[in-house]
Amino acid sequence: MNESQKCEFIELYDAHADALYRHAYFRVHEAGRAEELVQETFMKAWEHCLREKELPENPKAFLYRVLHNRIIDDYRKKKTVSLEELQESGFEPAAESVEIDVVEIAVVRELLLDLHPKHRDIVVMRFIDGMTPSEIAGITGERENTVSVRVHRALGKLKEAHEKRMGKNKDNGTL
Amino acid sequence: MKREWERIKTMEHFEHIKESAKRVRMNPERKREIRGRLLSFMEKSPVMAGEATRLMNTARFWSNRPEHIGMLIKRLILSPMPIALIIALLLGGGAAAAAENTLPGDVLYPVKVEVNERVRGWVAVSDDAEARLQVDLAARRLEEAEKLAKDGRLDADVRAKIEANFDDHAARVASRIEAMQSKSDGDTNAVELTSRFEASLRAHEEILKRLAEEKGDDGSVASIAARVASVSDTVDAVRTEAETGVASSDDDGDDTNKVDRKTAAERAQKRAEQKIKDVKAFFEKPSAAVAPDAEAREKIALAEKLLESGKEYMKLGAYGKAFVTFQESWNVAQKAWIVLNGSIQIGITDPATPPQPGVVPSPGVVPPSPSVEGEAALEAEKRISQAASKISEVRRFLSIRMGVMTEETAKKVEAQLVAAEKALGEAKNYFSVRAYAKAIVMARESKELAEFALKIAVGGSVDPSVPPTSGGATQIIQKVTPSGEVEIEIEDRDGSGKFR
Repeated sequence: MNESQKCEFIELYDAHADALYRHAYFRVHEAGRAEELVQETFMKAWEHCLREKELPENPKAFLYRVLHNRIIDDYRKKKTVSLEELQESGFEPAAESVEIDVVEIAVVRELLLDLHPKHRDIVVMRFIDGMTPSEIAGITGERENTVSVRVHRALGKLKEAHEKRMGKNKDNGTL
Repeated sequence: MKREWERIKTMEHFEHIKESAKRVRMNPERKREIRGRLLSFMEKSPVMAGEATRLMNTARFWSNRPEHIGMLIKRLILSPMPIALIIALLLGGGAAAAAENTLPGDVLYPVKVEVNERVRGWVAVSDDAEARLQVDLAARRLEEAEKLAKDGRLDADVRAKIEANFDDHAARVASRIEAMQSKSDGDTNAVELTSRFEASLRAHEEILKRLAEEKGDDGSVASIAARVASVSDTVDAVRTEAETGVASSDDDGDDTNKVDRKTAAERAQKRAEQKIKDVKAFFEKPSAAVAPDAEAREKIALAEKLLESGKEYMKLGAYGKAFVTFQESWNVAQKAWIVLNGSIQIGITDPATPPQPGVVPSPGVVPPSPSVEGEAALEAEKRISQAASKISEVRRFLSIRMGVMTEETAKKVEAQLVAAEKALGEAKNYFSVRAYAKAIVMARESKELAEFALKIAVGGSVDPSVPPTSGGATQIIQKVTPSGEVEIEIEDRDGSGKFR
């Protein structure tokens, strides 16, 4: 790999690190792990480039694919999550963010993390990352149609979870 | 909280969440940190491809998040981690410190190599920093070999490991240097680095040889010494090339980097001055366990001369040449320094140095004396290698000074060098037919011729018209002393040079 390819690769980091972090942030339970995942993604990606002797054709999709696979790996390694871990995992809002957004995001994240990973993943890609079904298909390796169906189903699940939460909160009547 | 949940009343609302989610970003400081690590990883990955996972785990280990330590242990145990990391993890920071002085075979040695040195690698980001680190680590392996050899713990197994590890570090230095040179010609950093590496290698080669001589050797020490010698030959070639690049930058009429070169030269001058001072401090220490040997004194004299030459170049504004000359001065002084330092640490003496008056050598350090012939062979070998290194030293000096020397001087130096090389060749021939006494004489003559060449080249107060020795003036007297020992005496023109 020559110097200009190295520069290009670092530019990829500068351009996509935040988006990849965001993607991981809504999919894994510890914010700290999301940072590590970003680092690991770029390292893995670089090793891939070294083997192929060139940068991938569609680097953005490639990076998401690597990240996706690493998150799946994590899921496999770790099935259950403790409540404490959930509560400890704060995140760093950008300086200009309004407080209401912070709460909203935290709520959305909690809601997402309640979902089964297979539903959560697709919602994050579709609504947080704003990917099209065809882009998602490129990452998960499924057919575009399958993805569309799953998006629909996942939204249903999300709605369910949302309503359940609302109901639970109403029952508690506090907080 | 309830109110917040109600805010997201409908899924339509959720579909618009994307915009606010955009506010989720990495902490900028962490982002920079990871960027730095990534860069360093990319720099070293050509030689480490496939090691990402291992490195990731190391990085994670040091990412200083104690709340995840439980998970970390799980990950460490799940993945094929070096046992060293687990030890380090269990013992905490103390293990890292305790491991620093260990040798191969010690329990904590893997911690030193796998954890401490790897972490240093993470911190070293640039080519230059990484290369310096690898130079240090290569030297460390040699120091370990020396200490083990001194205690008689250097067996074939440990030797193989040390050699493999040494090769690895040497290869990494080589790839860093290559990267530096591909970026710019006449890179002063490349000169400094190769000089540093070469000085370290040559000095350790010398220590290893002395060790083999003094402590007896089953071939392990000699094997490492030979490997070091071959690597340092290669480094030497690269170094010469790099030096030529810098020295010739004075003449290319391109003044863009002149200021940089000047700064580099000034720094090199300071380094050389300091190093000379350090070595001289050794000479003043009468309490030192090891008397500074004649070789070291010679080296310092040369370093000082080079320092003066460098200053002249500075006056002329030839900053590239000044840099190279100062660097050479540092290099020579550094070799003296490492050998002196290493000798004190492992308690060996220069065999050529006569014992201090009044100092009775303890019986423990007297080397086993297999046979007179064996001893003569060792002596011959040593002299041959001294002559060879002297010749290469002069050749190097000549290449630096080529520009400022008059053609006449250059020719004289060249003639002396050719004679020195011829004598060296003869010495080797004698050696191969086991005519050790003759080999010693020829090697000695070769070295003297080379030294004389150097004097002409340096432009000292030598009259080049008087050559130092001629074959006819040297005589070898071999006789058996009353005690039954064979005594070889070498008489040359000033009657000195008697040795047993």
